[in-house]
Amino acid sequence: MKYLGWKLGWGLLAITIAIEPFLHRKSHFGGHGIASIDSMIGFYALLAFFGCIFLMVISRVLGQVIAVEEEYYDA
Amino acid sequence: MPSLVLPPAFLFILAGVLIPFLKGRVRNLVAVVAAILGLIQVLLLNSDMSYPVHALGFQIDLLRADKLAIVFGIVFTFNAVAAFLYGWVKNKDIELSSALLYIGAALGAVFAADVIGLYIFWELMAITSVMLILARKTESSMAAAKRYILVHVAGGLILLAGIILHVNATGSIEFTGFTQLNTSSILILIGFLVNAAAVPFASWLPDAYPQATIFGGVVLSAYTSKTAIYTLMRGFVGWEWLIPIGLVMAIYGIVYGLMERDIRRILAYAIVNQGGFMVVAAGVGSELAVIGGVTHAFACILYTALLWMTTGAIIKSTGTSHLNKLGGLAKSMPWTAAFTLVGALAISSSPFLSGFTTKSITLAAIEQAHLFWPWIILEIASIGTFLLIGLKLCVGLFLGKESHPNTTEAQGSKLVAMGVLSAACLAIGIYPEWLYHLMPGSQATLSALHGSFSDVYIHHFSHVVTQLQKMSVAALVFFLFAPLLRQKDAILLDLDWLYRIGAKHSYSGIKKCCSSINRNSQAFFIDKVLPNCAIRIKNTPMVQRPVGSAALAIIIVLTALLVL
Repeated sequence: MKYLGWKLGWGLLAITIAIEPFLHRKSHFGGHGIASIDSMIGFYALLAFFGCIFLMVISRVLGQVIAVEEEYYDA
Repeated sequence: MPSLVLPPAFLFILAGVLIPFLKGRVRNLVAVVAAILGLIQVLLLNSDMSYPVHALGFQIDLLRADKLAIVFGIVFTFNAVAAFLYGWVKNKDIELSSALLYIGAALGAVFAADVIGLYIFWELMAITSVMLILARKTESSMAAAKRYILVHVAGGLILLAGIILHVNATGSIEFTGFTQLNTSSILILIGFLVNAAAVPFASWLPDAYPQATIFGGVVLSAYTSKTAIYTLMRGFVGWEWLIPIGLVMAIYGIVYGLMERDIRRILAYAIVNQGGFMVVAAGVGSELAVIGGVTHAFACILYTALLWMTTGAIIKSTGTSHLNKLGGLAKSMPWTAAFTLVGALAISSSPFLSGFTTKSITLAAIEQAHLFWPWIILEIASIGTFLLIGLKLCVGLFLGKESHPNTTEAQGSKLVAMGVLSAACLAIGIYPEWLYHLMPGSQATLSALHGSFSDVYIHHFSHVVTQLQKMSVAALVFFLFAPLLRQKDAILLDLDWLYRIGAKHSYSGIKKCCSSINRNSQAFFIDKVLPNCAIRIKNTPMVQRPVGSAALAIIIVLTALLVL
């Protein structure tokens, strides 16, 4: 099943990136420089990639600091 | 001339009071009928209706049926119908009765036109909801309930202080938008934020809700935090502080959720995460943002309750809520698995489901306000929701090795309730126009929100593509880096440390400090100084005894004490 998810993920990613050039997406912010980055093809893929890595790493690192044994509050 | 109509809260409260006097299934029937009648009544309300009461020297209006209140009323009562269908098998008085009173109080708070009515129902909500946690009757739920009520009483008292200052300063008890930044409005805001589970007051929610009963969790998930969102939408629209608070909530929910192992606690963190979007919407404050926040709250109540129902059914069937001990349930509980998937995809704003058509309005409002970085953060939090609920929770529960091969599917009434909420999620996702028309806002803004199927999925096809792109990447990252999410069983420290451990430490610190002062002063004055004085006085001849100077010394000591 995980293999299916893996294939589904790659398939969807390939299809959506292939369609993107035909959609003529415009930047929602219409600005120059960094604020117009969201009109780039594959922007949402990159955002999702770095966003997910960011969240997972933060939770991993924070988990080392704030996770305590389950009897912590019972003492 | 406004017409007199009883507020919908009364119907629920009456039913809640009636339940303990009834027996058997009649109680369930009364609860479901009360919820359905409540829904019908809310649908028939209009802004001419009012219900003034004279109390405490004020004229309190318990019914203000404007569009904002009615939207929340509709979703509260609709969700109540589904929740009581889900609770059809439950026969405990206390749960049904306190759930009815709790929902009634939430409705009362939403329809109250002034701060006094709001405050009374606000406190009633805290008291009645704690029963749903106590009814679990385990040691840990009792402790969690105690902490829950303490937090809410503290929050309620802060709110009350703010209300008293506000009424004293302005002389008006009407609950409208607060415009001035002063002590009273800050206190009221803090009171609202405590109930909205805003960071730094968020820890009560993941602490208490997962300790509630199965039925209690379903009911609790919808009302307290969303009533607080309603009060923010009414009272603090456009307060820019709310934007950073909401952003932190949205990320906090995901980061903590990813560390968590208990399935209902993961959902509790997801509630905080979703609340973050609405708090940001209130902070942005444009008309579109308010519509976005309210539609999102509407959809959120339904899919969150759906997820609490399905996880509740899983806990009931398998007897555990530990994600690592569960797996492969899709085989033995196919319907529950399907409904969980609907809820999970809805909360992840997948196309054709309610999150897609509601959360996007908030994001569009943020784009309109040209808030680039908040937009990026909310987009990341939105993908994180899919990572947390769509992937971590669903994959953990339903794929992999079968943990409980002999479990049975949830009972019929529970499946019906899940089906009702799933249908609502689909209805909002496929054809959101009906929901958009319920929203408060000018006609121009509402007609600019295109809500028919072709508008959403054909004219704005690029949104569907980008959403699917985000979800596919999230899935790939999840399968690639799944080991990163493996963690030992642990308690996650949060700011509740302050009142669970910190208070204990500071109490024992104060105790130690005071008792050492006590001990030392006793050793010095009673054991040393006084006997010395006594011996000296005794040894002095009678005639020479300096009475006058002793009296003077006493006078000096007493005056010093007085001055101090």
